[in-house]
This record gives sequence, structure tokens and C-alpha cells, in this order.
Amino acid sequence: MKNNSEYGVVGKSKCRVDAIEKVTGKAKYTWDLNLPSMLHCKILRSPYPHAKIISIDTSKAEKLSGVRAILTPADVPDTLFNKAYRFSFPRDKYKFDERVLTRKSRFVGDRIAAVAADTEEIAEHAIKLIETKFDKLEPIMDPERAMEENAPKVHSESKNNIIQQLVVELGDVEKGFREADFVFEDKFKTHSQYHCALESHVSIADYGPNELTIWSSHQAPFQLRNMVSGVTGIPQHKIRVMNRYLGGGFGGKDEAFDELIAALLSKKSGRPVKVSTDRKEDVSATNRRHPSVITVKIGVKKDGALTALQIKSILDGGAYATCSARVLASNVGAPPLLYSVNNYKAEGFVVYTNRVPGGAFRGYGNPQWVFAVESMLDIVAEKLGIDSLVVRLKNAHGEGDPNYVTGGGIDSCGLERCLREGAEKINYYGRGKSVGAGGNIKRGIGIAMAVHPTSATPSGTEFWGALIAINPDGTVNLMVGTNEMGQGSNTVLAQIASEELGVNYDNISVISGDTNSNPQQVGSYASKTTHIAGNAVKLAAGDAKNKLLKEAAAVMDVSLKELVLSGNKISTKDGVKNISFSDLVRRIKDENIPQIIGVGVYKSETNAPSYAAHFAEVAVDTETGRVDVSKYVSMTDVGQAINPDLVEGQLEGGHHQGLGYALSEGLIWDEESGIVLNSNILDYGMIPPLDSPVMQIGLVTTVEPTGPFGAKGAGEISLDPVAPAIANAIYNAVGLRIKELPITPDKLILGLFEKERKDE
Amino acid sequence: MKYISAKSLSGALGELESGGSYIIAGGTDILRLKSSGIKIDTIVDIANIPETGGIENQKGGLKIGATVLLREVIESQLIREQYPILKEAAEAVASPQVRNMGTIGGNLLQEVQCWYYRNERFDCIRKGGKVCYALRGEHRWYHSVYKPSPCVATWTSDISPALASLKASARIIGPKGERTTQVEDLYLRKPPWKGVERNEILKEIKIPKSSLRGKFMKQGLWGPPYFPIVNVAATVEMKDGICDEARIFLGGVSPTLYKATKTEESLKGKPLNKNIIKHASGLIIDEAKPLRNNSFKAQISKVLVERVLSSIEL
Repeated sequence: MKNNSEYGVVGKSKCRVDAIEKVTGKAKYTWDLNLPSMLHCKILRSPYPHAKIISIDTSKAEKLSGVRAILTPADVPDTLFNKAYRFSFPRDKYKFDERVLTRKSRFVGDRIAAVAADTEEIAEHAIKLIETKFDKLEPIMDPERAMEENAPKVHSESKNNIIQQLVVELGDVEKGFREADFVFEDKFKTHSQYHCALESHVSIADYGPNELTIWSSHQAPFQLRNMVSGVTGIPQHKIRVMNRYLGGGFGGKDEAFDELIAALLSKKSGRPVKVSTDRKEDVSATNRRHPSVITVKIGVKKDGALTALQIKSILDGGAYATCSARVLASNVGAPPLLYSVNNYKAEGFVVYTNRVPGGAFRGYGNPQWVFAVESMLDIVAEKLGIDSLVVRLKNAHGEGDPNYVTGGGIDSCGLERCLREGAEKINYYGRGKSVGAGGNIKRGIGIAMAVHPTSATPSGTEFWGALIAINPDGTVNLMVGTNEMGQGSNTVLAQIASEELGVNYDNISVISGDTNSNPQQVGSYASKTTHIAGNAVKLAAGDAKNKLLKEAAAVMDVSLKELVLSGNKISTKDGVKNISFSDLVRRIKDENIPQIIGVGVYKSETNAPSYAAHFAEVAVDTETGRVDVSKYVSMTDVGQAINPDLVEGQLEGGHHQGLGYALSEGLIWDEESGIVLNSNILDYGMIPPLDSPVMQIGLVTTVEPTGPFGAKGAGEISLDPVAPAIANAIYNAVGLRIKELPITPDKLILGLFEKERKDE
Repeated sequence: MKYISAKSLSGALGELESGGSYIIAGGTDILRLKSSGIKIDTIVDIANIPETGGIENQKGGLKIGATVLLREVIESQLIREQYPILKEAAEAVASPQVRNMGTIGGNLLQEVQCWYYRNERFDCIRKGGKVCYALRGEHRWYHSVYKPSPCVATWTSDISPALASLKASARIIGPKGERTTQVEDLYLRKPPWKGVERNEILKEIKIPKSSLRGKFMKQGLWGPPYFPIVNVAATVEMKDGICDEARIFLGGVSPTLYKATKTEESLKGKPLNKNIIKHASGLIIDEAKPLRNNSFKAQISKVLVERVLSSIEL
């Protein structure tokens, strides 16, 4: 495969195809859409974490002027579904445990009834007029307690509260511990994170005589179509799902929430219905990152080489199963793709509790174990008296090492270079001079590394379809169902099409976000759009190119082998004969075939892991517990970047989200009532953008043989190593090991007091 | 909910007579409050009343109208030159967007940040209920470490400690006419927590001319736009290198503005050297009565007081 510098468009930071639309405010998001005669919906949500609903009386609400339709559990299909289910995955990997509206509340915010009215205010008023009687049940809020035999059951039809239990075993972990010179064990806890997409969940449904049309801020429209079809019985060709742009996704929009409510209300009222969650609902009642309790046991030789790694994970899945089993698989399955360790065992549980459900979130089970194991690795390094960087270099996975998930090997891996180049950039070797600077401000540097697979192959069938149509004037329409949520996929796919087809980048339009005009695809999750959609586009472009060249050979009367298509023209290799792309299209249109269409369907055979090493420099104020991230260096191996600026932008966003995860973000509950207290952006604790540290974001280029032009995923690896890099830097600065996220000032101040007492 | 844009003070006072009315000027918090379960029938907007605006030097001090924007406070040359501590405090409030809308009066009379008070699901003691949920619940950031009272929500205005340290007074107009009160007295009283009644309007602030020198510092959960976990404003009056008077006020730590009386007294008559400041700041911790999970705020209070005092240019 060629190096990036040898390509024309690929590897260049082309301007986003949607740049002008977005900076001028013209881009339309689902929130912006309003249809003629559209109704607005509000949802009645449960006030209790665990309660049976005895009765629902809507008579007063029905009488309110402007109310057009009301749904209660009696009005919706009794079909059980799972809002995260993917048709491209084995069905037995998912528990179907949800209904559109519930007869039993399993968390504060559970959906009980819905009203469609002329205005949002009327709908809200009507919700307050619905009289509901509850029979309160004992809630179960703690995942470890939820696993006990006598714990209250969140789903009475389940045997117990365990959604999924998984064991992953490689080699013989007991033998590994026997071979170790030292064995260390520790326990870590992570908390709940909310996605905070600027556009909260929103959908509009229009139930017409021929077709159900749904506009939804959703990352996987074909999965949504499949789910809606499954619950309503409407065949897929009669359901159209659309979105132009998503105002952020981060995995939160991987799952469907209120589309079914919108559809059923539209059917009942005969009018389009919009369901838009306000911020409070979005924070407290959609989904979030799984909190975890992770025990890590490590066996090492004196030189720091791992002989065994054992993990026990308990994830809090909340009220419904959603994709929890898949998140758990990722959580217990990924460590052997990062460390070269022959003996590995992981036991994982994901359990029901009466909290808001866990779901997909950038990182998908990885940030939790990376925090635990990468913190643990620093503990081990210190006990052995070995440098943190050295212990990582010793155990880091590399090219050709086994990829036990796919059964093959790691085809591309720049992890060692990430570690070495990042260390240079942050002056790791010369850090002695800056670390431990005087007074109350202590400086430290922390390292963490991570792996993140591109796509969920092979546990699901990850595929994408793309079509390329050549227009009469020689321009190109690329029909590919990407889900543009800010990551820049439409831009990257236009670049790939341009490179492969030899047509100018500016002559390509990407038609995305419509299940009726796009070929099928599985959805923009698992860091894979560039890799999998990119490969499909490359195939489609290649197909169109072959067809064009064949026609060109006839038109120009030369042998096919002689022809080259690039720079918007077709020429013979000797350059004697050439014809512009648009002229060729015109000629063959008149003389031979009126339309050239390229078809590409790509099914992934690999999970092409991406790698990263992060280096954080922090200044800890030992008196006030403030942590200032004074420098942040990251090195990431995403294969060959198709558009380096976009990759860096995405990485920076992920790092920022990771800093919030490490230091300030998290849902806070009133434990007694089960109510989320900080369900607004101010109290939730995001780090304001102006307070984001200046980051040095570097790319380590490898060439992934299965990627389009050597590319791998970038979306999630950006967040995975941030929290342990910060935790390790804090330890380096003040000698305090915080084992529970987020690392807030109270934990630091009280921890430092405790440490002082012990040291004396 | 009714909205009224008042054109005169008397007109606004008339609207307040019925009760259930809420005064706004910048209106930056009213939508959040609306969803908190607090009863609001009428909003009376006083931003367009001429007498409530303007920053000007008058006899005896500087007058700042209650509806002067926080941005105007920051940009005012008079304030920058005469009372830099007030500029420091205004800059620490929220975000540029909020400072472009929010007023100095609104900051002085803001509602507390307690998430139980602001959640319609909790009929807490501050809303007329019987229980303070924060006492048994989550109270790490926005609850009291001093002066336990039936309600432990903290006073989170950044402007009030700065003005109190400058001995500012407030001019308040009500149905019985006008009255003047010290800014610190707006807060240093028992429930209902505010020194301005629901049928009164804060018209203006007056800061007396003085040779007080001061400094403001704040720690939020993160930088702005967060409300203070702790903020401190302190001013000192020095005579021949000896502290004649120290005024130290903390926000974010108590249901009202907190005056660090013991620290103030300890500094009086002494030079402000490192050891004396350290000792005086330490007294802050002795007075603390933290709740279950917020003792760390007493530590931050002590440190910020020490830092503020050490950084005042004498």
C-alpha cells in the first residue's frame, strides 16, 4: 500500500463538505425541523425508582383543549424489545426486556404515558393532569448488592439481577501467578458519565397512508428502522428514517428512545408528532456510561514483564439491558489486545439496578478497565522500582502479536512509537527538573496507554453499502448512509471517493442520512465509519472507475491496460491521448450507456485495533485540591489519517470529554429517592471549553492493510486513556493514589490529610 | 406566568403588592427557577427603569445602579481605579454570556444553588416544607460548613463578599418608602434569608470612599462558569504598617454571607506578616461545623483566606 504522501486527496486536510452550512447556521438538525400541523409530545415519567403502576387515569388530560392523543401502556404493542438491538448481531446477545411504555417503573424517569398536543405547553400541562397510582417497591441501587440472592428483582421475570456474566480465558492464569516474582491486587471504581450532546434526543414521526417517516437524531438509522418495524409490524420498505446532521452523538444516539412513541402518537392523531427531550430528561432518563467496580490482579517478573493478568468487573447496567452485554464483552475482552500477556482471565458481570440504564458511550466499556489496569500498572512499576514508561514498553502489544479476538495477528500497531514519541514531546526524560516544583503546587507527569478496536468484528456482522452515480456533467453523487454527527465522515468519504475514482474532490456530493436513498449500513458506532463505510465507498468508486475505463477504451480506441484515470481526466500512460472526465461521460451517454453506477458492499473481517499513549502533566494544589492540567500530549495510531485535521479535532474532543470523566463530570443521585440531582449542564460538571488545556495531538502513522488507504478508527481511542493518565500524573505529583473517579477536590484534600497522618 | 416590563419604580412596586411576583432584570436564572417548583405568577422586569441604572461618583462615594450589568462593572474605569476588588469579583461570575445579561443587583439577590431546592420533586424547608434533604443527602459543593440552620444551602454570590468588604450600602425602596442598609446586613440575618422583602426593590449600591485595600479569590468545582464552593473577599486598613481594620467575608460556605470575625479580630493591631496571617486564617477552621461530607470546604476556606490576605498589596 502506498504512503499518504503519494496520494492526491487522501491524507490532506480538505475543508469539510459541510463547513459553510455549519458556520453560517444554515445546517438543519432534527431539532430545527417543524412540519405543518405537527403536534408536540411530552412523556409522563415515573417519579419512583421501583414501583408497580396500579392505575392510570387520563380522563382529565383528555378533556384539556389542544390535547390530540394520549398513549398509556394499554395503547401500545405488548412486544418486548431492546432499544440497542442490532440486526447485524446475533439475537441471543440481547435481552428483550422493554416495552414502549411500562407498567412497572424501574428507574426515576421510566416512561409511563405520552401526550401529543398542539403545543409543548399544553402537552406538559396534560401530563400533570394524568393521575397515576403506584405501589412502591424496595429499590436496588447498588450493583454488588443487586447480585445477592435475596436482592429485590428489577425484572421479576428474570431469575436474578444479572444481565450477563462472561468469562474470558487465555492461557493459564494460575500458572502465570505461580511463575510471577510478585503478585499485586487492587480495586478501582468508576462512575456514571452523561454524553452531553448539544442536541438532546429528538425525533419526529409522520404516519402517512403509504409510509411511516421518522426524522431522528440517531446514529444508526437502519437499526432504528429495523426496531420500529419489529415492534409495529410495518414492513421495512414502508418505513423511512432520515437525519441530515446530528448535534453530537458519542454513542448516546446509538439507541432509540422516543421514536416509537412519536410513531404511535402520529398513528393515533393522524398528524406528525415531535418528541424532544429537555436537558433534564436527557441527563437523567436516556442512557449513560456504566459505572464499574473492577478488581485487578497482576503477576510480574522482577523486570516488570507480566506473567498473568486477572480482572473481575462488575458493571452497573441500570434498569434495562440495552447493549450492556456487548459493553461487558468489550470491557473484559480488550486487555489482551493492549498487553502481551500469555495468561489472562477476566470474569465480568453486568447487573440490573434501579438507576437510569447504561448504554453505548464513546469507549464502550474500555475507559473503565483502562483506568483500573493502567493505574495498577503504575502501582506495580513503583513497587518494582521500574520506570512507568519502561514497564509499558516491556508489555506493550506490537505488530504481528496475536489478535485473539479475530484469531489472526495485529496487522498494524504503532503503540511503541506512540510511547516513545510522546515521552520525547512532553520531555519525560528531563521531567526531574519540573516535577515537584516548590510550595503548594506540585507537578507530575502521568502516562497511560490504550487500545480500541475498529468495529465490533467478529461479534457482529459489520458492513456498509455505497453507491456512486456519475452525473451527465461529470460530477458525482455518492450515496452512502453515514450519520454526520460532527466527526466529518461525509468529508472523509468524499475524499476516499475522489482518490479512488480520480474525480476532483469538489465534484462529489455525499447524499447521506436517508434509509430510502442510501444502501444499508449498520450505523456509526464502534469507531468504524472511516474504515468500513470508507472501504464500501472505495469499492463503489473502483467499480464505477472500471466501468468508465472500459467505455473510455472504446471511445478512445486504446487498450484498457493503457488507461489511467486521475485528476479529472482519462489518459493513456504515455500521455498522448486524453479526454476529460466530463467529455467522456457526455460521449458515452450519447453513444453507449446513459448512466454509470458503481456499487460497493464491504463486510469487515478484522477489528484493526487503534492504539494510543497519553502523557498528562498536572499541577496539583495540595491545599485546595485543584488539579490544573498544564500540558497534555497524546500520540495516536489511527493508521493513515485520511484527513489529519479532522482526526486531530476528533481526538481533541475525546480528550476533553475524557478530562471531564477524570476530574469533574458524573451523575449525582439522591440515593434515598433515586432522583438524579444534577440533571443540567451547569451542575453536571463539564469542563468549560475555555478551560481545556492546550493539547499537543500527534499521529503515529502505520498502514493498516485492511483499511481504506491504510486507515483505522479514531473516535473512541481518544477518550480511553485520559483518566488513568491524569490519575497517574496526580500520583506522580503528590504521592496519592485515587482509585475512584472522578478525582474531585474533596477526594484530594481528604486523601492528602489521610496520607499525612499515615506518613507521620 | 405573566411578564411585566415596569417603566417606573412606583409602577414596579404596585405590581409587587399582590404577592407571587418575582423581580428580574437580566433574567438569567428565571427559566431554571421556573422548573424548580417555586411558585411564580408574575415576572416584574425592572431593567428598563432609569433610576436603577448608571455608575457615577457622588458625594461620599460611588453609586452603582442595581440593574448595571456585570459586564459594565468590569468595564467601568471608575470601578477599576477605585475598587479593583469589585472588578475581580465581577470577572469571576459565570460566563461572558451571563455577564452580558446579568446585573449586579441580581447577583446580590440571587437564589441559592441547592439542587434539592431547585428540583420540583423536593418540597424542602426553604420552599415551606419540613425537611432539609441536603442534610442527609448530597451536600459536597453547595452546602454550608458554618452556621447550621434549618436550610443549609449556601450563599453563592461572588459580588456580595466584595461589596461587604468595601462597606457598601444598599438603597432599598418599598411600599413604606426608602431605606438604607449595609450590604453585609442584607445577608447576616435569620431566615427568610434575605434582607430585601418580596415587595421591595433594591435600587442602588453605594460604596463609600476609603483607603481599604483588598483582594478577591474564588474556587469553583472548576473555573468559571461554576458557582463558588468557596469565595473570599478581604480588605484591610493599614496605619503605620499595622492593621487597623480587617474585613473578611466568605461566600459559598454558609447560608448567609460569612464574616470571619475571629480572623479579623486576630489581625487587628498587628503587622500583616506571614506568621500572623497563617495563625489568623487557621481560626477559620476552628469555627467550622461541617456536614457529613463537606469538611474539605473548611480547609479551602482557610487556604483562600490566607492567600487573599497574603496577596493584598499593602
